[in-house]
Amino acid sequence: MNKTFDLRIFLPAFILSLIGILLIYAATYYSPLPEAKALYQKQLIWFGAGLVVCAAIFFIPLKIHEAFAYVYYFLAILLLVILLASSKGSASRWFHMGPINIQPAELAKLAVVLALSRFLGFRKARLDEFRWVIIMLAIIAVPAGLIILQPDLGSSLAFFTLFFAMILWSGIPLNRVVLIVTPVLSIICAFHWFSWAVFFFVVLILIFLSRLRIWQGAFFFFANLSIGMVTPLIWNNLHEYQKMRIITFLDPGQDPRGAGYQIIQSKITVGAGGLFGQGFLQGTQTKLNFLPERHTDFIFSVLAEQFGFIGCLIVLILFILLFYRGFAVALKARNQFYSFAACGLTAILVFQVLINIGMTLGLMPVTGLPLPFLSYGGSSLIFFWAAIGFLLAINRDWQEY
Amino acid sequence: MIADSRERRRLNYYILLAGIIASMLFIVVKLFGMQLFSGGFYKKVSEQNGVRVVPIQAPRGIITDIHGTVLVKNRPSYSIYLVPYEVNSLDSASIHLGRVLNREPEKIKEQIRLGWQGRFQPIRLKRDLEFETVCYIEEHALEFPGIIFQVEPTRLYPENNLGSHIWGYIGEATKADLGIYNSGNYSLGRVIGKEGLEKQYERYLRGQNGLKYLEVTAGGRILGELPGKDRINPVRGSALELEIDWELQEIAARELALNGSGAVIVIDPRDGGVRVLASVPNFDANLFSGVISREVWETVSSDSLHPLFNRSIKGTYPPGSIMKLFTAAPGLENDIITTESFFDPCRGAKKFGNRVFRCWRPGGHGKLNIIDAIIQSCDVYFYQLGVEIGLDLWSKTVQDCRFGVPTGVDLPGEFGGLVPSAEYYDSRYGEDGWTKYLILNLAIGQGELLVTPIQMAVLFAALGNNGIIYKPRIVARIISPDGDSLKMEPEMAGRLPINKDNLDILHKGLLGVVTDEHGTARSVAIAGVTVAGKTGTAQNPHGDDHSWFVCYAPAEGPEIAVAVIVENAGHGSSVAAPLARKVLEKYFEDVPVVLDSPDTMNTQP
Repeated sequence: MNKTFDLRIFLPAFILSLIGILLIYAATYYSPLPEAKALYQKQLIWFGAGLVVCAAIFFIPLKIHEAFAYVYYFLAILLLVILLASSKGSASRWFHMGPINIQPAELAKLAVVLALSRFLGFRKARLDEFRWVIIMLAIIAVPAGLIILQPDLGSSLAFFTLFFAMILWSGIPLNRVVLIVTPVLSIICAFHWFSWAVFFFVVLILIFLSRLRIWQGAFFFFANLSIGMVTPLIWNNLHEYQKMRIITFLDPGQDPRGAGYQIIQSKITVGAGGLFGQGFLQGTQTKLNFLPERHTDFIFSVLAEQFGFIGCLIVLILFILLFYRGFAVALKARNQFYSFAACGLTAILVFQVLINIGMTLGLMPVTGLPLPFLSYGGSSLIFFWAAIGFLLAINRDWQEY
Repeated sequence: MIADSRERRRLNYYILLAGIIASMLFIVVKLFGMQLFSGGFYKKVSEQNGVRVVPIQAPRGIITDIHGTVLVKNRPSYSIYLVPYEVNSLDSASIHLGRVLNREPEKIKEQIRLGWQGRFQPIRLKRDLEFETVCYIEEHALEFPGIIFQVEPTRLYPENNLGSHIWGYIGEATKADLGIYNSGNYSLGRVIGKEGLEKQYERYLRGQNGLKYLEVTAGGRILGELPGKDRINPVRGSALELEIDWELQEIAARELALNGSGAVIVIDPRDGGVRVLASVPNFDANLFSGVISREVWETVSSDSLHPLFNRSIKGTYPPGSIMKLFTAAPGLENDIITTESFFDPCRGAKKFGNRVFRCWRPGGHGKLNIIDAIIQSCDVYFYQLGVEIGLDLWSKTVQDCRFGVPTGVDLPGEFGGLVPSAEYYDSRYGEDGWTKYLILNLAIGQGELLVTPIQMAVLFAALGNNGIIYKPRIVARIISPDGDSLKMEPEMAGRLPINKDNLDILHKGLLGVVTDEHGTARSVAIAGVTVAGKTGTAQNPHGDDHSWFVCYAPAEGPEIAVAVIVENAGHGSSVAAPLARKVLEKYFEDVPVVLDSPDTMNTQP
């Protein structure tokens, strides 16, 4: 058992899920709505369902998932298209099926990880060849684009993190990885001519060092050049309100009544916790409803208010254990598919933890990404338990091998 | 090739891991900073977040008259408050409220700006809302987010307005008011005394506002009072017990109003207590208890009769013949005249320099001593006396009688009037621009000389009480909510510069005015009480003469001194004196009518 079932993966996830249920209970305890008060019970059921999914993945041979990876991928895209079509313009992230709501974006994450892993693993792709990078991007861009249209910017960002992690994992030199993401960095640097000039100089050096083919070098040269020139043009032609929207997304403090309000209240809530917290079910921020979205996006703030720095540290350590085990499994996996899958799933976990906690501390934009295992939400919990299932299974296969 | 890629993966893995560890460390450091370093600050902010501090307005102290009759009290009223936090758009809220409150949206926004004490602190928009408006807003609560009502006490004054100049009125504190009471007790819009006793005794009447701490959710739902934080109950203001005799005040003010505009003052010569302080026209102080509407304010303040103007302490008039008493005083004190001395007899007029000065009685008064001159109010006698005294001595004595300075009554904004002196004329006309004959007009109470009605009452009280000039007092006692009472002791402002013998001479003259067959105020004589008084007819460049009468009674031991002025009403004997008689009759109605002594019988024709 010890060899084939890795408690070091299972236990942190299990404890985190229990802490999540406790925090959801605390977050909704003072709500006047009985439905809100019952949310922790629902989460308990989702937790059960998550464990079932985890077990199923663990016991079904991994080869089957490997074989069906592309099928999953197309099914996920189909679901996203149906969702988009059925919502008829009004934003929707969920399928409503009786009492339960399913978020296809979570399913799509899993499908994309498997599809990418299969693609990268089977082809033994040489990512030195940029054509593979383009195909990889395409695999990601289709579902990510459909999710942006929902609109759910946060979830789609997770896909591009996946891309970054996967190309790193493929083992290509770091300078190339950087080169691949330069067009995106170009947008950010283009807001000031000086920063962009420095940036462009770095790009030129990278192109030179990477010893690319002429047309590849030309591609990065012109891609960066054109983005650097077009971005200020587009920005200057945006309406003031459009600029404000982007600015408040990046820096919510600019809008203390809207998005900034959440961040301000979240920071107050976290800070008010102190070293040991104000105690379970204590703390006015949660009690008096000043912290918005406290059982979903801002569950970490509830933890911080009630259990303080010590409580936060325990949760962070549990997450770090998971991260470490996830990547360890990926490194030791018996084949490329498993390795990429383990890396991709762990990368999504890391990304969501950093983005969500960063948001509650006011370090990151408000993206609406849930905190893995802790935030209320069935789809998210089941996705991460499925990920745990995969990690456990990959770990077992390596042990058996 | 594969091995190479594996190696690179490992390298990339370490880079990735380093990035993740760095990020996690950054989060831990940030958490440490927020929770441990700034934890106290955030804790405080979080505690304030859910607390709404709501002021509880203290009822102002009540005001009673000398017999305990309640004059000014409080009634409950609705005040409307806005909690900024709960309002999404202050613009649309201002428009919405402006419509209901009958106010410009800009004005409401201004109020919100000035009253801002934090997003959760309610700002009062209007006091004393009509009940219908309260109902309307309550019924349409969804259209008016962030609106709360508070029942607060406001002032209720007697409806007949007969004492409005005594208590004045209240209003909302302005920036200027805040400068005066810079004690942290006031915020803009807080109720504050603006005039009269309400202003003078503001610090006693206001009491101490209370506070309650409400626990509110982010949505503005009030959960009740914050546990563990007791409300601070308001302390009602101290009560004022006045020297005013309300029944007498009512008679005086009502009778005065029947005769036009003017003032009536009644003072107790024994201690300076003010029994009556009436000024007509008056105003309805209740109008100011709520938020006064612009129309009402304009009507009241632009009234050509100036109803807000307290004539009894701010009205300055020439005293007319009453001044003859205070021209006689320096004459007697400096031995210029005695009861045995005579001037040239009055032939109806006398020439001084190259100008003829007339007596009010064209036929003349003949040869008079000082007593008869007072009784008959002979102008020619006092012209001659004035010239003998001279301007310097005259104005010094008159100033020593405390003309030209406020009496010090406990009301705000009193005027002192004007006693001309040589310096005054020098500065006004130039050193050679005036002649010594200006004294002629001053001697009979005309010219630049100006006095207030309350000065006249105070000085006649002094004439009646052997020369003590009391500071007039409206408030007799201040009674704190605990029942402690502070008695306002009589205070001497000075002494008439007239000795007892000379006071007796003046007294005889004043008695004669009412009782002598030649007296100008025989109409004032009432059965059972001897009255000593003096009429005055003050010429007035702006219109008809002002009618004056000032007296004290009973003459042998005065209990009241009465000063009456009716503007533009003509002779003192025809209007002011009969009015004073009504006041005297009321005051002495309970005094049994004793049979007149044979002495006085003899003096009756």
